[in-house]
Amino acid sequence: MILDALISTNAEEFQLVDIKITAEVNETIVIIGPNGSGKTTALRTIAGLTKLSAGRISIDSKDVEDPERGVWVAPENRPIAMVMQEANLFPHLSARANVAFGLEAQGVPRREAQARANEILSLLEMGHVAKLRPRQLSGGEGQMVALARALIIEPRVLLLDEPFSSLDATNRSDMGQKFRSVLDDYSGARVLVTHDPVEASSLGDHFVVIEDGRVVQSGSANELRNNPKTRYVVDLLS
Amino acid sequence: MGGLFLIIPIVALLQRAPWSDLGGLLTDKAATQALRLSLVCSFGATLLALITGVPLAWVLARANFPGRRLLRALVILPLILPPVAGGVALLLAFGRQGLVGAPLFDWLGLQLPFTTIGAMLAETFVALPFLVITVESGFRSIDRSYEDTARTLGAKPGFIFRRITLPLLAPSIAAGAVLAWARALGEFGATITFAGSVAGRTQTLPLAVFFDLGFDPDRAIALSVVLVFISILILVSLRERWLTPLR
Repeated sequence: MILDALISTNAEEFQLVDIKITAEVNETIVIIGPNGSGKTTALRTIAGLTKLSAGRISIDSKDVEDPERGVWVAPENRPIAMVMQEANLFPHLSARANVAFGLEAQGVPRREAQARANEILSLLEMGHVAKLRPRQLSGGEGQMVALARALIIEPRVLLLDEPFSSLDATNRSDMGQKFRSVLDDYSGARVLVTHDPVEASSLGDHFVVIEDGRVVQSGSANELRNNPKTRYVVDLLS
Repeated sequence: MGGLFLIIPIVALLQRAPWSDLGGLLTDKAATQALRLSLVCSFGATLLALITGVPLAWVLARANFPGRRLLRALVILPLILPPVAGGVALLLAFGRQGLVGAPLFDWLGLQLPFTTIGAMLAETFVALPFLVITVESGFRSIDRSYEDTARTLGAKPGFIFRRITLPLLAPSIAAGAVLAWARALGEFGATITFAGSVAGRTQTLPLAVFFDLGFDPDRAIALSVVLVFISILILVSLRERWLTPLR
């Protein structure tokens, strides 16, 4: 098991109570729920951007946070990477420099970091945007660059916060496929937050449904379909 | 009406300016001395404001502690304080018998009033708030999620500050520095109170203008014209910020 988390927090406007999220190698966990249910907050706690009030998070069997025992590993020292909702590319850096950022932060020399950024961008068929600034990119291109920026540091857990929310419908299915094939090649665990059922079922292996800061149901798509526990889950699958 | 009231004095100054003698007036010893001193003091003050003001702006924008509002009020105070009062306050703090000045003189033999360093400190005192409030609003306008994202990519706080925060902050720092510099260059009240008007040591351009007006009005006018042109230059350099109407 790569990720083993039991999350309770009251640090942000959304309170979370005993959210259990576990992920195996190569598994994609989808956290799904209505707007305002606390999905993003859950992701932020795994990243270390929001602190737990109780519970525990461990990655690769190593505790990164355990408030009871006073354990807290800073976000930059957790083997994770996060792709935020609005791509969030650094506006003053080129696409390539954005992708190279994580490597340079680890002390990889600039030339080498940029060479590897070029590699990963061409792998994602994004080589043509390497020299452009974020504001010159389309929403979809921006998301692919943000994904490349996260993958280049080879995180054990990749955190994705509604990565397609800023894209229009046609762009979405197109990007979804590309995204999916990239994600399939990456060997860590993925945790994806979304409120879009199509996105969820196309990318997810295991689902955690959150409503009002609590898990209402958790399981595979079939398990959810066979025995939906709440009205929201019923609507989600219809 | 209001516009005319603002424009007419500038026109009068330019119309009365001794254009043909301008070169001679501005290159004589007293004028170049004042000009050089003004540049040294104003750039020195700007540098001091940058070194102390950027961290202060960070504290005001980002740190969370009781008394932050009070600290901001104290930082803004010199902005509205009459400079002469600021000069008196500086004298009581850093003068030979001052709160800090006395031990400074007794132990280190250091004397600040009526020295060039003193003039520089007086200018810093009035210029610093301009830099701090400009940079503080710059810090506030930076989307925190850039810094959050950078952390999740494995970047340590120092690295993030150098590679993300500082570049995004650069326009605000530049604007704050220009404002502070302009304020320092025009400083009169605090300088004359704290540092006096010693030619070649503390007599900066505005002081020279004031004291020349009595016996050499042409030179005073010429120096004023220099100050007007510097102001226009500043206006041009900050046009993006000031000349575009708010949307």
